[in-house]
Amino acid sequence: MAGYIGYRKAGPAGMLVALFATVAPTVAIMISLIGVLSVYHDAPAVQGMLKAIGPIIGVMMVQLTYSFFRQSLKGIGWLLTLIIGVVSLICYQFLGVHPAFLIFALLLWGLTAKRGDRA
Amino acid sequence: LIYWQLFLAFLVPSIVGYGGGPAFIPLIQNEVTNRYGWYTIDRFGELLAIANALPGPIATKMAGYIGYEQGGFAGSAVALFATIAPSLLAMIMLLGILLRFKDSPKVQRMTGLVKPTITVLMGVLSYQLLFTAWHKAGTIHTVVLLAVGFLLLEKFKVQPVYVILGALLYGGLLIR
Repeated sequence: MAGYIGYRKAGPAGMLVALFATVAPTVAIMISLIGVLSVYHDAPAVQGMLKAIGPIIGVMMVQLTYSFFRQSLKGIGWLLTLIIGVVSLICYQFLGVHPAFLIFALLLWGLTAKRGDRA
Repeated sequence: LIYWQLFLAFLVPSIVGYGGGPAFIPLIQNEVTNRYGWYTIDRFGELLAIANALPGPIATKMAGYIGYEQGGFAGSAVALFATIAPSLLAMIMLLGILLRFKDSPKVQRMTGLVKPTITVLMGVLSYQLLFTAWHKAGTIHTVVLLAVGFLLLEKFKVQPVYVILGALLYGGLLIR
């Protein structure tokens, strides 16, 4: 968004400036925050903090997973969700297919499928 | 070589993970932990947590940081470029067209078909994160944090940043 507005207002240079202004502060904060954490990495309190963060991020990911699942049910119905889900799981987790191929194949399928097809 | 790897590691997810944001997370994780082996799941989870606690889009924060850690400032710039460039190009060149077709059945269907795959990728990542978390923090702390975290995030809709800060406090004081 910032890139687009910057480009419209001031061309390529404007685009770079806008992007830099948007992204740089948080990246800088993140770098320094993690820097501080790693200096004290062996302190028991920091170890405890890092351990405590795991379950929370797990909960957040489960929430995200569930919301994608809901969107999927709403968009293409449970049958197709189940089929594509199971096939994806097998390809990704057990056959080691790169996810980009899966997504690309699905996009291609969506692009070529006839209008009358389900989904 | 590292710059080229960084470029690819972030370019591919940002092209296929269109819709940006959350869908990008498991794709990035696949690149940086499985393909290039820069991080363990564990460490990736920590980065994710810290990125989540800061404002701004998740994709650029992860790209900026991972790029920096793997390749310094230039690495950071490369990773960010790879993350932003595809959608930016699409926006500048195709904004009108994209917007026009956004509601067309075909685009809707394409977006829809990808959703189950993203769900699976996220599910696998969630499982791995929870499993390593349980391994590290032990059963009791994990259960407590899961239960409280779930209640706060899902039921009371507390901002993630406060939940993460709370967890840091809890861990700093109670977990050894």
